[in-house]
Amino acid sequence: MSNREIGVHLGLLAALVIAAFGLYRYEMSPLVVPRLIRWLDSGDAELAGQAAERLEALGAPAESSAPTLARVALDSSNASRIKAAQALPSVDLSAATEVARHYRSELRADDVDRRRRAAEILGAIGPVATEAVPDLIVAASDADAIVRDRAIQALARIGIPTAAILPTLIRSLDDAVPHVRHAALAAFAFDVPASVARQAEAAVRQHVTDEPMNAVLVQSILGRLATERADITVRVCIDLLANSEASVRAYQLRQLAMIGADAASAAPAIARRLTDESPLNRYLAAQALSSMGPAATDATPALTAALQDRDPVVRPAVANALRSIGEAR
Amino acid sequence: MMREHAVSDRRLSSVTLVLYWGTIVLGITLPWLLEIGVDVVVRHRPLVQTVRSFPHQLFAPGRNQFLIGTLNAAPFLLFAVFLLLHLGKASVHGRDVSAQRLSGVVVALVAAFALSAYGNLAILTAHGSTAAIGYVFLPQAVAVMMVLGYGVGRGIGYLRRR
Repeated sequence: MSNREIGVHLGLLAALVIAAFGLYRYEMSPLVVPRLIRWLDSGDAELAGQAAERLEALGAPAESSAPTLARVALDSSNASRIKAAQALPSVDLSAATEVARHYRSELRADDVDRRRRAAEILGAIGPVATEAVPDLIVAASDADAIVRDRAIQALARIGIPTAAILPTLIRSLDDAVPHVRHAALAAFAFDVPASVARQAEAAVRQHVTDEPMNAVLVQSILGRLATERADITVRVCIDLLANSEASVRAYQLRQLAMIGADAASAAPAIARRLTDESPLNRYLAAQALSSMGPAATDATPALTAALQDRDPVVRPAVANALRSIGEAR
Repeated sequence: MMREHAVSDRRLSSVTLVLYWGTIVLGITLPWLLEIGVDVVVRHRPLVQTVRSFPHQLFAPGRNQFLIGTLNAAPFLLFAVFLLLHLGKASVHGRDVSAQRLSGVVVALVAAFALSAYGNLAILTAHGSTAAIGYVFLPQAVAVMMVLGYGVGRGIGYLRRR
């Protein structure tokens, strides 16, 4: 083969690689939002679910999809409503709050199916649904076991305020129905940080001889409690707050918010997240500082500046954090 | 004699280009074809529906077939460049060297595609989602297999020419 021939084929391969890179960049950009909105409305549950997940990954730049996501999340007959509800907080906090408010009222419905759905969706919305915590605590004592199960799962996923949620989770460990106890144990195994779960150690230990599916979780929790050190957890969270993935930062902020004052060494790193590009992370940063109370006093200047945040859901959370710090002075 | 040599050169060029583009295309699409195959054979999904919905999975979180294809293709793309340069200029070294090189490249590709197919199938049919970590290590194993396969192929080519 001549040098020219070889050069042409190498050039074609280079063009293919560049085109593939360009396609990837395009598919990961907000330019695909209109197409994903069409997928949400396609009626194909699998396609709509994928669209919701991709919109969640895009975050705030996919804000134009919020009305469609909210509509799907509010549609009780739509099979993609859970994924739409999961995506909303990353895309638009205001829309997520509105959907949470709707389902909060649904928790008080006479129809058991509506209460079940409401608890499930509130769990999918997560920490943005903190307003619904009092109603979910009531739902955790519902006559229907599935409502109780889903309410416990929702409380575990919301996670804050931990002081309000923890007693309900501990109480649910003694529920008469095994799968409800399983939901409570799963919360301590997967959602609640070990330093917080330690408060439930005695209650958890009583279930060592529970049904096999629960006993496995008990062993998992006790293993965590024996090995996880709070100071190391906080240090790892601080390191990961600098991660480039918004969802990773969000998880750390939620963990730190649940740990509260014991994570005071993370306050400066959390305060820096008050200017995060993701409104959800700014909201979670304010919630984390709020949960620390007086221990987060050094974050007051950053919080004061964040009172001017452009997101209407972040601003009240920031004001609440300032009140929380101020109350203890 | 001259004409015979020219025909042989042209044939080697054609084989080189088939191997070059075949390696690139199959390197990218092998995990996709296997994913479709597993969906149809193991998960009993209708073929038409599986093929139609596949493009949506290219960039779907949790699926990321585009990234999987790219990762899988990496060693094959490098090997394609190597084989184009290696076989494209082989004829100037004579027929024996050309045959040995071709043998090395073919055995390397067969071994690498076999390992890649086995690895992809093992990941696809594994029960735990953590098996997906294999997508990170598989290209490295395939690259090692290419080197070994090339060595074995060159050896076979040498023995056949003796």
